[in-house]
Amino acid sequence: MAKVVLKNVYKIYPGNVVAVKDVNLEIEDKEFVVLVGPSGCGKSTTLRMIAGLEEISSGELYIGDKLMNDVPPKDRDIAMVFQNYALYPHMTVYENMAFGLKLRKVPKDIIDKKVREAARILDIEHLLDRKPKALSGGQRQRVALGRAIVREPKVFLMDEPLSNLDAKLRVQMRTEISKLHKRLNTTFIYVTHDQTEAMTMGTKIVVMKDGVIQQVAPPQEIYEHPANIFVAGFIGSPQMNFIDAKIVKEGDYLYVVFGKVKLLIPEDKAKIIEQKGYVGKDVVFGIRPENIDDSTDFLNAHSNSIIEAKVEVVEHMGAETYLYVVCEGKNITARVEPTSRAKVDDVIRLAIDMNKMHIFDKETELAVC
Amino acid sequence: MSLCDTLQNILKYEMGLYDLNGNLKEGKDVGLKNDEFTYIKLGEDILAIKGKLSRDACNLIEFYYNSFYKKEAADTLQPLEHILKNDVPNESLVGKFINKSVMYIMCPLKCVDILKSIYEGCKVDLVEDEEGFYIVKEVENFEEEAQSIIDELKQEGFSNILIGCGRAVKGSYTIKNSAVHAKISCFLAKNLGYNEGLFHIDKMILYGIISESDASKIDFYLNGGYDGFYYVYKDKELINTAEVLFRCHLNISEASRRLYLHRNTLLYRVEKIKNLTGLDIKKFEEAMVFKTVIAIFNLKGK
Repeated sequence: MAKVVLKNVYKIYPGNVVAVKDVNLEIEDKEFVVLVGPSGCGKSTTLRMIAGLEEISSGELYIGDKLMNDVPPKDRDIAMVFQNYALYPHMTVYENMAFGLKLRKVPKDIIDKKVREAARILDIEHLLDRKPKALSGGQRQRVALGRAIVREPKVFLMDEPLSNLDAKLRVQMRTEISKLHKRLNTTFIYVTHDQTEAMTMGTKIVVMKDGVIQQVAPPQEIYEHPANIFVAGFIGSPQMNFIDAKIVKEGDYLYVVFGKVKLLIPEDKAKIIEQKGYVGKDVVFGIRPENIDDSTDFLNAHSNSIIEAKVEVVEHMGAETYLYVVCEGKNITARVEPTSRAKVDDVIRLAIDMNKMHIFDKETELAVC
Repeated sequence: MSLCDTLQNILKYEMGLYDLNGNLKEGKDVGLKNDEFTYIKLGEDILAIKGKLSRDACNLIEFYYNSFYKKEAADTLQPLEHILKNDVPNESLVGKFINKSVMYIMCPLKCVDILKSIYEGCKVDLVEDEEGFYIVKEVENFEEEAQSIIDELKQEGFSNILIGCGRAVKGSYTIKNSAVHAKISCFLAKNLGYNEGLFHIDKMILYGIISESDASKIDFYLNGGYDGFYYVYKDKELINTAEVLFRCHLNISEASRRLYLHRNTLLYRVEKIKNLTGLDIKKFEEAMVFKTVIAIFNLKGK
């Protein structure tokens, strides 16, 4: 079992600088957990505490069932993969992969077996006799992963391992690492600032900000039900539109109102909003760009939530088009069909799928529904 | 028998010994400008050999030359540890350890076994001192090699590893110079607030100059400007913004993505730094000055 548990973990640096604040996290065996957040949010510090490279100021860390706070890193049964994927230039691929085991005085025949098995998994058997300078970027990445695999750790820790790669290789390696997780069937903890990496690779995402966990959930849940405005804005590209609005009740119906715009709130969401006492209150209305469209079918399907907006910028992305529009003085981004005929300076009609709307408390920024 | 005659009998190559002005002193005038020849600097002389020799052969010739001329052969035999740790005159080292560089690894002394394992079977000298290890070798790719060592030591649970590197020995730049540069790079990095990483002397020149410079001269230039810089220096948010912007090569879009800030928020902070310090850190030259002043604060404890 390689369950990783952090209980009330803090990291406080001298000068009372709190880098990680009261982190509580349960990572199940064989999960692929991604810690994501902007620079300085505490994700790398959390990973380094799990690795044992940073002391835990207070709280408890368990790997398996064992308390690890005072266990030296080499005895934690973990393997780390870092940003640089550095290899020893004077060693062959085989020697690079074998080195960690050699250091642990593992018998030669076992080293050989493990290295060849890892090379087979990574499809680099034919490279074992080469020196790193004779390898391509992608091959070097695989060798560096191989160095971690041969240790057969309970947990893999990866700290922004793709951030030094160009965009093309990054996409390729993203897939490779996901495949590797499936093949090795072990626990992966992965740190990135890139929300696309988090969404595509993780079975569970931990969003962090200012040393505090904002939300822990599977990618789709994070996307569909963000816990607060930060998570809603951080996950998704282009990011969610946020509009200051008011909840107004007319008869049996609730509406989101901003300027002259009045959008009918679906019954199920209206019920929650009313129960939580937000009628008549100022809120933040959130809607993702893909839930706003100008196609005839979409307009017909959402005839109760149509806005008029002036197009400021049109970005043709090929498979889709981004419209940057202004409505009632608010900037809104819509992701529409590439067939859209909207042009700059046009005043167009856009429908909003209110079933996908989000309401956030204006003060606490927490999700209401 | 002259030096050239003796060596020619052994090596079967024609050769000539020249002074540093190119005047033939003994042997045959084979010339000094042929890519196919081997040239060895021997004290104040150059030995030109009509053929390609291995480095080991060159070292032997050098040793033989010193013995032959009854120069201080003891210099050649000085253990590396003695050279690196003591005040050895540069002159006695010129021409030795050609192309080798020194890496200084600031780490716990417990790391010795790992370092020895890394270089097992390689021609590498490892010398220990109070704060770490000197590694003397031909360094092909300092960044990769040093990063591998840091990663390896981290895997084994050693954090806060700093590695400095001197330049390769060449001409009058000796192994001792390289060692001093390697170690000083580590100390400068430490004083700049780094707790991990690789630092080649080439990238530390400016910081070295600041560190050595007269505080009153620095005061002269910063006089009247301290308050603004000090405010920025103490503001974690502004310093982090500047650091990320520098890491993103002054690319505002990339830095705002990394910081998860709206572009305009980042620009607002950059403007705030400008108002406080007078420097627009979006511009390379001004960013460089900003970084330098922050380094002064770190190195001089302002």
